[in-house]
Amino acid sequence: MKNPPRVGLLLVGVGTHMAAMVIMGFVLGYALDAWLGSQPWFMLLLGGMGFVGGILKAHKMLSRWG
Amino acid sequence: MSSEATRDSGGGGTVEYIQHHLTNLCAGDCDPVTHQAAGFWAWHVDTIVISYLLGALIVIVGWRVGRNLSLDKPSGFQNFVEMVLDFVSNQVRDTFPGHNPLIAPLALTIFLWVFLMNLMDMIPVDLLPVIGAAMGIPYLKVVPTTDLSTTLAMSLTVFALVIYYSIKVKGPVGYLKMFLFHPFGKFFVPVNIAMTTIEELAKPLSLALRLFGNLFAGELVFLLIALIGGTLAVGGGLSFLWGGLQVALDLGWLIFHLLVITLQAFIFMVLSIVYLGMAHTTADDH
Repeated sequence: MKNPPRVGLLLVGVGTHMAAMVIMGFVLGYALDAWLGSQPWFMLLLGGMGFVGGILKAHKMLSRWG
Repeated sequence: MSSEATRDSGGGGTVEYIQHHLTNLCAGDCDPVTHQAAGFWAWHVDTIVISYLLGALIVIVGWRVGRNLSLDKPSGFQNFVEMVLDFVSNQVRDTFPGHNPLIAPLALTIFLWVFLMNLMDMIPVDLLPVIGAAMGIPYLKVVPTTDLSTTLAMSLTVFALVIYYSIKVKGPVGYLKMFLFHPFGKFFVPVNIAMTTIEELAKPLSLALRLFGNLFAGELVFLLIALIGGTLAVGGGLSFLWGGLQVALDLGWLIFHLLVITLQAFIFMVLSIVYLGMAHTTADDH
């Protein structure tokens, strides 16, 4: 995709997107744990992945459009 | 904070005042003590009614402007509406790759509706609740976007459209491939699935939380400023000082908040267009 000129506006969402990924990781992990009865492993695993993914995503967005 | 904690905290009037203002008029499956939703079938009546009324306002005003369009002598309001239309249309043209006749009307609807719902924050915090109380309505939260139900409903609608167009443009296999091989390549498929699921679900969540958080915090600051007026009753000789402080702070926050509500409506619109634009691209571009 050709970078549209105004796509830099996405940067306003970097902070909340990172936070949302951490939250979503924990929520998904919590749901998986409740389903499989494997507390607390999936919550920790997916929470950690959300954290790492959030940082990676923020870095990617910033280095691309910053 | 639970109602017991409130009573024990000794905050008395101020805490109750803020809690009362931040409680929705709940119908259906609600907690009889706290008036908070207690289950899925709890209806926030004030949010629903006010947001529908504002939606109806957009439709009626749009209909009236559409009936009285004039090429030779456009009215001031027609000029204003054309300006807003041009602005949104330019944003869509700049941000959205390809062509889809649904996107511009959707963006305009989101922008106007969110802006009007945010604008309810400009009405003095006590005005409508006091009128409501006189009419026998115990709770009234006038800003629909300070209710997470509204913002999440809107962002989930956008998310549903994103999934629909992703599958339509990329095909079911192309959409699944995005989950399997992104972002770490083909050797980490389970990690990729979890990571991409988290990332995709985080989009509507961040969209909803940003709008809700900004408006909720703004409303809370208005309530805190309004509380300064409460000290007028006990301030004695310093009444003038407190009154002046309240007016100055309220005016300052009002002007600043006018910027915030416009910006939040604009951001919600732009991010919706961008997410839908990503759904319309076949390349692995996230």
